[in-house]
Amino acid sequence: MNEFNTIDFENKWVVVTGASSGIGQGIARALAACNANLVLIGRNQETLAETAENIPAENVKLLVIDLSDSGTIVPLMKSVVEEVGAIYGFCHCAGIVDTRPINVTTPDSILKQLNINLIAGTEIVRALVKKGAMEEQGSIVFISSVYAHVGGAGETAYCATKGAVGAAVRAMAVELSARKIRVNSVSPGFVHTAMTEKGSKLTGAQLEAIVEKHPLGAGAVEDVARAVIFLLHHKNKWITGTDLLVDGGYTSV
Amino acid sequence: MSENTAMSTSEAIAWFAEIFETTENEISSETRQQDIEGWDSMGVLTLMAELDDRFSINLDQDELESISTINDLLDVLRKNNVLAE
Repeated sequence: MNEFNTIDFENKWVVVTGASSGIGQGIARALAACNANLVLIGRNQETLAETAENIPAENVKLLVIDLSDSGTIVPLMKSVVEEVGAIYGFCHCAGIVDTRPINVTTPDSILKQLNINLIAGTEIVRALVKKGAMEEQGSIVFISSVYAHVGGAGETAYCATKGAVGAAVRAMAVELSARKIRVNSVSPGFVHTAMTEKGSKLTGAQLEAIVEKHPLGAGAVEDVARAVIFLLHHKNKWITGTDLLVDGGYTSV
Repeated sequence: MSENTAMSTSEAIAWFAEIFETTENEISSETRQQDIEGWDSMGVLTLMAELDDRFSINLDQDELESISTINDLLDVLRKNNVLAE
């Protein structure tokens, strides 16, 4: 078999946060299409179950966690590992953005975003690096953002959290290299999702102005999912500590 | 932190003046967005953050785009039962 035409995650368990919608849901769907077994994490049982119904994965475990309650994450992940065995991969897609100018960027608004965008992910990694919880040569991907690389008005806190993700990814990559566990991130530009449209505090005109800054236009969740699949795949074993910009050229302008 | 205490119309106008970095003498319920320099895109985001922090009011895009005067903002407070009249 030609090793360059197979992407297969058969018999591999992959954990995906933020799996009920948007980029996380697209990644779950893509992993299922590549035969992965999935642990899908979301806030809402109903929307998580809907996601699971609409993806072709053979083995799916649903886990309802409020990721802002960081104290619950490690024990719940421990119970999942006890049930399904060692995890191969993890993609931290859960994220929130609270766009507000610096004059109203309170410690509370920063911490709320940091809790989900970074700490929930590192808590899951903390659970997975316990002995036997993750396969040797496993792979971890955090979803970052172009805002880890460039600034945006009203995005001081969001940029800080995504910058922190990149820094944490590099540190984890070095630390976990001894176990051949790879840690990377993907930084999407503007992708059409419910969060970027209905959930945004920006007007339609403001969102359109952002899209226009992307030479290749707005992205789709599948564009990000392909990059994540690439980084998660076990054959890409010499890539760690890096960030893959998937932004339609946004940061090249 | 949400204060959730209803405010009078004059208190609300003073609050909007503070948000848009102008003085309450400069605005009335009839004042339009384009007549307030600080009611620009950043001003809108500041307004949304203040509405959320103070009254847990979250405006969707349609509501946001339908607002063009101070009176529209007073209506938002009215609809959310935080304007004492």
